[in-house]
Amino acid sequence: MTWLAWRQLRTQAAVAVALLAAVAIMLVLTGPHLRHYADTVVNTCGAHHDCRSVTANFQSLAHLRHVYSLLVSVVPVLLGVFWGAPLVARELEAGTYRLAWTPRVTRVRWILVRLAMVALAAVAITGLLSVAVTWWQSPVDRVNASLFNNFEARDVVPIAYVAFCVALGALLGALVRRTVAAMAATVGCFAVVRYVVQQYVQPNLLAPSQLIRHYRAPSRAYSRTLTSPNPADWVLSDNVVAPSGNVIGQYGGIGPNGTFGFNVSPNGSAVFSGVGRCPNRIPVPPGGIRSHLTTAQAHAIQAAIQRCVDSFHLREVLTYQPTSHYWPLQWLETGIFAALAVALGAACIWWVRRRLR
Amino acid sequence: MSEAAIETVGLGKRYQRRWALEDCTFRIPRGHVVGLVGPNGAGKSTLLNLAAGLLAPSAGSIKVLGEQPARDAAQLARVGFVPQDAALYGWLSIEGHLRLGEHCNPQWDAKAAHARLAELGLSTRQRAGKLSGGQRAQLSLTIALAKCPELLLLDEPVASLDPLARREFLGLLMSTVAGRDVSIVLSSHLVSDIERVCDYLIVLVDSRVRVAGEIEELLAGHHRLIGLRQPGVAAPANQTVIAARETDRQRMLVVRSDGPVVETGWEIESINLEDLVLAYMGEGAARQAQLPTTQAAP
Repeated sequence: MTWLAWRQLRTQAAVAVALLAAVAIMLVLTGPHLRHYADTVVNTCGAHHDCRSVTANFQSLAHLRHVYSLLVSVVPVLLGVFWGAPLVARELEAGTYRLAWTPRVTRVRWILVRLAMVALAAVAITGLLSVAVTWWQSPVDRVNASLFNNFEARDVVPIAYVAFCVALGALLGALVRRTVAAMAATVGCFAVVRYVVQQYVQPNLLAPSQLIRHYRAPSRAYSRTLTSPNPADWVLSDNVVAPSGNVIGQYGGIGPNGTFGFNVSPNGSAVFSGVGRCPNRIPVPPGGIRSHLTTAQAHAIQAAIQRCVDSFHLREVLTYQPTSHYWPLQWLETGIFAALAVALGAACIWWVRRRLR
Repeated sequence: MSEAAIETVGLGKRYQRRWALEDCTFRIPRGHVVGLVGPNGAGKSTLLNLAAGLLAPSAGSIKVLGEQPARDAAQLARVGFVPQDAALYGWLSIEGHLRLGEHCNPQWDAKAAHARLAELGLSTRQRAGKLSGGQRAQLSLTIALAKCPELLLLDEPVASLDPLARREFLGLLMSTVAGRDVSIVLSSHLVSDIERVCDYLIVLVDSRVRVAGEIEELLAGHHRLIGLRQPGVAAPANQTVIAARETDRQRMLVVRSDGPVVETGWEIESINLEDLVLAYMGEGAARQAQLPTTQAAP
């Protein structure tokens, strides 16, 4: 049986390994230079006052970073679709399961061996790819302070994803008995499960940190005054909260969608949409608040606006996952999907054994 | 040898809402070549898959060689199955299929299998996907036979073959199993195939078994009766009408004879297998069979 399972996987595995090798060669050829550049030139750019051009140069050196991250995100789904979904479905469609389910090879052994072999191969390929890409990306993530930006395409998480996708594909194939339908269903189900886990499960497992502060009005719309301690932290929300507890603004602004939404009439009375009217007047210059202002005028306006905002007693709440949560989050996500993968695999075996007749 | 090749009691199989097989009760003794005949969709494949243990019954029970199908490895080894489409791995060579068979089955007659393939002129290096329909059927049969089964199930083995390949396949099947202690059940929607090789017949129509028995006995026990049309007279006594056809003046019946025809005025002819099967398969067969059969008094 192992022999048959290997024969069925052999060609596909060879193709996958060849592609993996090609990607690995590209990574190995460019990785060390990127790392060296980050360690030397980018690290010392502050002293030479040319960080802008150096960083831009670095980004162009790493211009394939999005492609590699995308690759690691997509490979688990592809393997689920092309290895997982046809695992049972194609045998059912072609009727060839009747060749395999024989005296020495019971259904359980057949599905167990095939599932295990395909899952192991998929995990190995995805794991190697993820390790290689994570290594290559680490200087990029450091320079861009983007540790969490490609969370799902780094380190161990993709391994759990691929195990999940393969088991999901196999189960769906056994259920719907159509290869193409099972392929499509695999993509859809994975997307749904990931969304649900990300939105509803993850935040409850590892509570994010919070910074709470008396609200300070930003000098311009969309400019933030409160930032997380580490630029690489994963900011989940930046809300402005009224004393009642109502969230009246997001992204550090009072207006909707991060705008600093207020209206100032020519006589200097200001209204903050959804919050209230200012008790004090804003010193509006004759040309209006959007005209060209002198520094003194700008400061006076800013101070008046801050006095106004102070009167509302607002708080700004920054919710974020600190970089120290990176590995706990990685393991949590991995654990969740690995557990789901085991459950789906068991369901697939049970279905083939009990219900597929 | 006392147990039947296949014995069913109230056997039924439902797919979602549709019953593919309903209330089948029959017993096939061992040592026969059984023809399972019926129109497309009558449940032939379902019945064979149930016997092979690839499907589980929704109702009733089936015993194959005295055991529940596919109950354990030993039971699986006793039954060979040639599925409808000669399911083979297209990418795998003939040699690979034989290796697979040897690997998967406790009993495996590799010598006989190779000899058979050599006889057919098939190179074992060829991929199964490149074979013609006839060659695929032959390979599938070779694999099933190499298991040395006590019961061989063939699901429409010749359906995709041309008449010549059909004749060849059946001929080879017969010569291969001659002298072996093996029972065969072979399904087909063509009576001519059955007539050539089978000595036992099961007619399956609309998911139900219409008739089952040894062909010789069936032929001896059925007749074609031709008589004048008479109002109020359905059929002679002791005769069960299977199919009836009327012209202006004549009434033609196919009957199962439970005794000699005692009335006069009926011309009695023997019947051939094709007409017998067609009578059972024919439209309205069920309705006709429910006609009162012995109401006519002399």
